Amino acid sequence: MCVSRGAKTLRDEFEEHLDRLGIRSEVKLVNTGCVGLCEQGPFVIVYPEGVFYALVKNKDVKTIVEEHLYKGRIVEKLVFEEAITEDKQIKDINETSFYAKQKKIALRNCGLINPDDIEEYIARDGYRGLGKALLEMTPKEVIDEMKASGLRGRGGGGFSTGMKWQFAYNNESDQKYVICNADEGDPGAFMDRAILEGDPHSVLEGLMIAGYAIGADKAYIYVRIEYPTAIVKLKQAIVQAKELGLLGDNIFNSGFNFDIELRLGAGAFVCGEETALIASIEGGRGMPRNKPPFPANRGLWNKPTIINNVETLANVSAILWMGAEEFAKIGTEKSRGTKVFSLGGNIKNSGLVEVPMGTTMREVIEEIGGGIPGGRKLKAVQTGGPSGGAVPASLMDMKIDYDTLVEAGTMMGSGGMVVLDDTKCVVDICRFYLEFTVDESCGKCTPCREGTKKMYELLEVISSGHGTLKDIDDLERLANMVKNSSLCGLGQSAPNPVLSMLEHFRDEFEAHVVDKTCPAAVCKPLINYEILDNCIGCTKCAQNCPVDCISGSLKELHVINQDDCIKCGVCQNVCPVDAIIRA
Amino acid sequence: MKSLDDLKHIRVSAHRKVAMREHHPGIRIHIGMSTCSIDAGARTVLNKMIELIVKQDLPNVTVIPDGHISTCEQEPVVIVLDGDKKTSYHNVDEAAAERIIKEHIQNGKVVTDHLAKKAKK
Amino acid sequence: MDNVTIKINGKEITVPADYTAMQAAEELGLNIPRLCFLKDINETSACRLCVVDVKGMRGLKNSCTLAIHDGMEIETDTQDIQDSVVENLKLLASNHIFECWACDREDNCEFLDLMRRYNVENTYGESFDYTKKNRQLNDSSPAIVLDSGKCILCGRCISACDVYTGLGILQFNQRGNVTFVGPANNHPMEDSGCINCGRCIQACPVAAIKEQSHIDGVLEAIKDPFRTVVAVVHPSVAVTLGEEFGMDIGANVEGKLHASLAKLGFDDVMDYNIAHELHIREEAAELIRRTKADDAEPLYTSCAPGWLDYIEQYQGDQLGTLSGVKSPQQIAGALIKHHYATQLGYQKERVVVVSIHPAIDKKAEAARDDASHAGMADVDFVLTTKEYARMMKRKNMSFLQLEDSAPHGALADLTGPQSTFYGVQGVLEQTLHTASELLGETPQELKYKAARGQKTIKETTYSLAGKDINVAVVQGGMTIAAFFAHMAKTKKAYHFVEFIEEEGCMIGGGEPIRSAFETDYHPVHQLRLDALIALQEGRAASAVQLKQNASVLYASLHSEDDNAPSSNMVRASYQDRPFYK
Repeated sequence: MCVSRGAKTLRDEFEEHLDRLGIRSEVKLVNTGCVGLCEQGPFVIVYPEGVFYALVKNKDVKTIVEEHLYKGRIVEKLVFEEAITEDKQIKDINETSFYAKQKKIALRNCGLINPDDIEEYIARDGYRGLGKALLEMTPKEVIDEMKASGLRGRGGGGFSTGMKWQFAYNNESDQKYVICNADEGDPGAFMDRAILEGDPHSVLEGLMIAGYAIGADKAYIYVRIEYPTAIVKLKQAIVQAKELGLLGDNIFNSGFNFDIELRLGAGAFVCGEETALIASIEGGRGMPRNKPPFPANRGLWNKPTIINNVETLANVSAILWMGAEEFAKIGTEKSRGTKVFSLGGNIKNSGLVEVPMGTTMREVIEEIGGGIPGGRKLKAVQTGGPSGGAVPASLMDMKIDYDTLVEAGTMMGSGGMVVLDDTKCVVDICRFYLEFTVDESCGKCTPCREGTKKMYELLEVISSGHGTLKDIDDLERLANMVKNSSLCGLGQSAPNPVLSMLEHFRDEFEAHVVDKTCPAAVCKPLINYEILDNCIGCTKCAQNCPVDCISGSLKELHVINQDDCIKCGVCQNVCPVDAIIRA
Repeated sequence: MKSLDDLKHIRVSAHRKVAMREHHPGIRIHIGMSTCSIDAGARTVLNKMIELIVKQDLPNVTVIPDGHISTCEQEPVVIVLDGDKKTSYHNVDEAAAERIIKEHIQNGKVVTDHLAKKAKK
Repeated sequence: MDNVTIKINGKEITVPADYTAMQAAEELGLNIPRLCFLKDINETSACRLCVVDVKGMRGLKNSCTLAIHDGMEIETDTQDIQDSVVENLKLLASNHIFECWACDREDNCEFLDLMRRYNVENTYGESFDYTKKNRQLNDSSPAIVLDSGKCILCGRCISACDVYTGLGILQFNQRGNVTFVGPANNHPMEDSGCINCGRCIQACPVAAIKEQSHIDGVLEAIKDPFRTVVAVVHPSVAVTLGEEFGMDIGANVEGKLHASLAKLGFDDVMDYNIAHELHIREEAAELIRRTKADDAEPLYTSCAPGWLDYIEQYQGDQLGTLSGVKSPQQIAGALIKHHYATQLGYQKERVVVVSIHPAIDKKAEAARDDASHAGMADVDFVLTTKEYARMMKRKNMSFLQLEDSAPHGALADLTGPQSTFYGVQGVLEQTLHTASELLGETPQELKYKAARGQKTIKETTYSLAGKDINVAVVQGGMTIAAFFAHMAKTKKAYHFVEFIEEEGCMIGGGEPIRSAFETDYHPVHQLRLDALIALQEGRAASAVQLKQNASVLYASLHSEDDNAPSSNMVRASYQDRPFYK
């Protein structure tokens, strides 16, 4: 249900037309969660053939119902273009290149089952992992299973999930807690939301398994209030699990009790940091504290606590059922399993993709993502959002896993992947990410509160053309200092975009201060619009200029008065003969 | 929820809800559902087949409404795809549909009297 | 406690295992830079100035809360650390308003100290390429001023507020680089629910929180030939004032203090103790009256106006229990204007009363509506110890060179001699003993024990007028709420309760401020308290005389019945005062 792209009314439309043709009873309409391919939403998938209709509008519903559902004729013009083979055959959704390279574990049920119906989750082997854990395994064995699977935290740092559990398990306490971190905050990342909305039970099951393993009987799901649909689905899932006795006392007659509570976060990025998240659940201001002690020793209300992210938990429930051995076969040696990425930026098929660890960047960008649109060249891929760095085009054959990304000066993060083509300026990109971190800094520690702001201001100086080479050195020095001495992960990773861009594209920074040009022609103070000789003197540009800085008579070459130009680019857009260039 | 059996019970009974959406290799039954096929009675054939599949709880069978498959006078047409083995039936009615399910799908015995003229392997 | 051996800058040192890295380094004689760390109060690791390099750990770690373990290797002085400290100081400086000459903390600013130590250039603050945060002044309270232009957001005040009062008045507002300290939503301080305890002022490393200054008003009054300016000095000022002039903690400067008062041009000095003694006398009379009454109403008392603020704002249902007697400071003011002025031939409208007191809640008290009599405020100005020192400096006075002197002026003779006081035994005990004496009974020793499950509530029973009354001493701002909860839970009736501040006035908001590093190694409060006790013991004999003086004074204020309520000159009134919520 791509509600944000208008899927909500589609259902009503379907109901109406199915009723009209009297085949309402033969067709089952199922609301599902995210199917991943945002660019093409909303979708309608018709099973059993798996015909994948993309960009469906209300008026198209009538056609689909009449043609496909009533008469069985696939409406070709509405089918996702990549699902049509050269010989005009329609491919199953899973055979399109967007999906063919993917391996779905965390997203196994997303877009397939109805998240409102616990039975559909159970039908897909849901809660079998939990049953197996509770009835056939000791907590220690569950932890060993997690260790054997090689699963690492999907929320950012990539710490071994099994180890984390082991620490909490080793700490004796009358009360322990499990927390699901659903405070997804990276701009452009939404894999957690997709899972919460499309397959909430996989997260609940993961939480229960974690609780059983470490000896906790209480879990909190910290979910941001900006995810209203996810909240509704989770609440409903908890109620359904309770009704079936999958939550509550004495689950599966094993003597294991478990309760899950939702806590709504106000959407501060820093609350994704473990200790800030705990402070927020406790009712305090969402500010991180020093580690150690780690939450596994002293967490929520000073009790041993483990915090796992949504995607990690969705993997946990899968691992318990499929077996650690099976899971560990996927991926690379040190990074097992799959990872969900949210693909965005200058890419054809933006959306959620889940690929085995070790898939190359090129496969993700070119084969799954369909490459860069508009014939532009790839410049870099920013991974890990505002906490990560850029992977330049030269490293496209790098196999993606936790360690290779760190080597390349970036990080996995929660899995944001923003593709940048050659029209993007690195200084501008750094500014964009820093603007975010400046805004999201909690203000507790000096380097992050003041340092990120000063870095942002240094970038402004550089992009304005008034900078010097010293400003670049200052920026680098300040960035290293903030990274080195900040209190929490937010501050420590905030300089990453700048540092990695400096590493790979230092010449572009230098062009801004030495040559006073912006190579990608993005930074407004450094660009000029000029009218070339092939101007036909149509006066369109002069008429549309908001500040009247273009002069010239009819059928004569026009001139832009650079002093008054505000570089809005309107003239370039209206010019019928492309005589206006940005340089 | 008191045992794994309880869970299994729900799983089995709910399986049909999602089975169709899963991607699996089993037998696929295509039924021609063009305007002329429906006119010739394809809808009743389709309903009968689905009804039987559900009733007999046949796991690996997928019924797929298809477009115009053959010539009009042969409608309704039913094609059974089992791996690379393709069997086409013509002029299927409700009784034939029942036989196809019971004899062909369940017991692997092709229903010879409704075979298409040029049934090929 | 086990010991561990660690290496700091290559040197081995064995320290208790519960030491932090900072403590261990300080044990080696190092002075690790710090701004946010205030032991047991604010341990938030926020300022990042105390960073050290730990072998095997990524990045730099703050040493203030860093636990140590055997074999740990720590470096405190690498180039990385130096650079990091300097850079962080630069960042803090970028928003700080450096007008150090006009700052309350020019002599003991912890931030300025570090800026000097590291010779930091204020590059960000002085370049136009960088924006400066807006300055916010929150000065609506009669006692406390918040100045964001000085604030370095260390959070010490916030923790102090929470630890000492539990009220959480001060908080961080907004976030990131637009964070401001203040009441929620930057609400004005005046009705923030603050009880003016002044702990935040003592916790602040800079001058971002300070007292409302009364210096200018006092100087103007002194200059005015038509005004008679009378000083009332709290006894503790004599043992803390010296610190402002570089003397040791607890140095006794009583003689110089009196010399300075004369030199600055105060016309008269009134002895604080007589007002205090009269306060006790009035209170004893009220206690007797309440105890004798059949529907015995409890009596809650305190010399700290913070208590009144608390009851008025948080326990409006308990207004009736409050003692109707003004505090010693207000009694002193009222006596000067309405009693002694006539005796000395002053025109009472022209008398200006200046109280010199270490607690800033006295400023708020003096501004109360009921802190007046016959349309005249009892006390016109309240100077804190710090302010008084500052005023002297401004008047070019060489305090340390002053000759010791006795209090000057006619009023000093009338109210003196300098005598003993101070609640070493507490107002409650003094009042009970006075009440016993008034009734011709023998004062009994009080044997306190902790109330059930409450360490900070001491209680006992006392026999007065043939009745056993339950008395209790509630200590510390945090305990007030606990006390009411305790009463509600146990349903025990208390007849006489005193609220005292945790450590008394000796580290009140207006006393000289010692840096966080000093308070770690010096028991500031204890040193000052010891000095005050020593000061008192030197003149124990005059205690009897003080009592007699108070009785004479009491008698002159009350014409007939000894135990009738006194003239309303010394009485206060209270009202429910809701703060914003």
